[in-house]
Amino acid sequence: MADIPLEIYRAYGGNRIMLPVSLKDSSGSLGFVKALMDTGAPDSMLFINVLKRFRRLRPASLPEPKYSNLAGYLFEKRTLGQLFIVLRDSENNLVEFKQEVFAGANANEQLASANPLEMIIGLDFLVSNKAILNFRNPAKPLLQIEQALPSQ
Amino acid sequence: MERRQYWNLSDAGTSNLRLTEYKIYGDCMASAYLSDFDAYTRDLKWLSENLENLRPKYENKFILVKDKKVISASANYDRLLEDAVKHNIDVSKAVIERIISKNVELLL
Repeated sequence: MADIPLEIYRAYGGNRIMLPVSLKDSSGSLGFVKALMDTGAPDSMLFINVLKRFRRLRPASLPEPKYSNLAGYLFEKRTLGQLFIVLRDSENNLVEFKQEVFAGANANEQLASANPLEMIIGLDFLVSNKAILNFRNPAKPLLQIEQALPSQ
Repeated sequence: MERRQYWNLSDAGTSNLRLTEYKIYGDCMASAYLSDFDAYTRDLKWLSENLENLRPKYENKFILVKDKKVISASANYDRLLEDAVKHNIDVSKAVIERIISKNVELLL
């Protein structure tokens, strides 16, 4: 079990579960991003402004165009392929997860560039890593990652 | 570096198996990277704690925070990035936030 301490940050007009995240691709570190934990989002997604900060990333179109509407901001959904999401655990270790991350590209450039969101960690991450959002101690909430079956 | 791999059921209700890589780094991770990660986390926390104080001055603007200071602000994200370069700031490691209006709450 890996315990990731959660912080409740003031952001986007309310209290949010946010995580400081380091992102990597196969070539190495991309940089840091603030990720919103959103159990209502099916997929983990990076938004257009972050792509401008991490210039190495090149979103690829999906086989069929798909759109996401988030808080009134409309995005074309593309894929960034497999990225590494790096988090700090409660013992200050770096814990890394490999996962497909999508990109919210600018369906409407003017609106998309005003979008305050940087990254969403969605249900895909929680399910594939058998994660638990644990608020048993409200002062110290945790994201608990269950270890799955070991490979042969 | 300790490296472990686990087979993981990817989606509830399906039989697809996906290899989830799960790595724990120890001392071998470059200390500069850890230091940058800590600095980013501190700035993110500082921003959250000072958001209400910053709002009157920076409402509806993007701000760039580094070392618990607002280095630059602009309503235009691209201009903010250009300004950051002038300040020799690596934007891939900087906290950038759009300060939305006080009465607006994003529903996600």
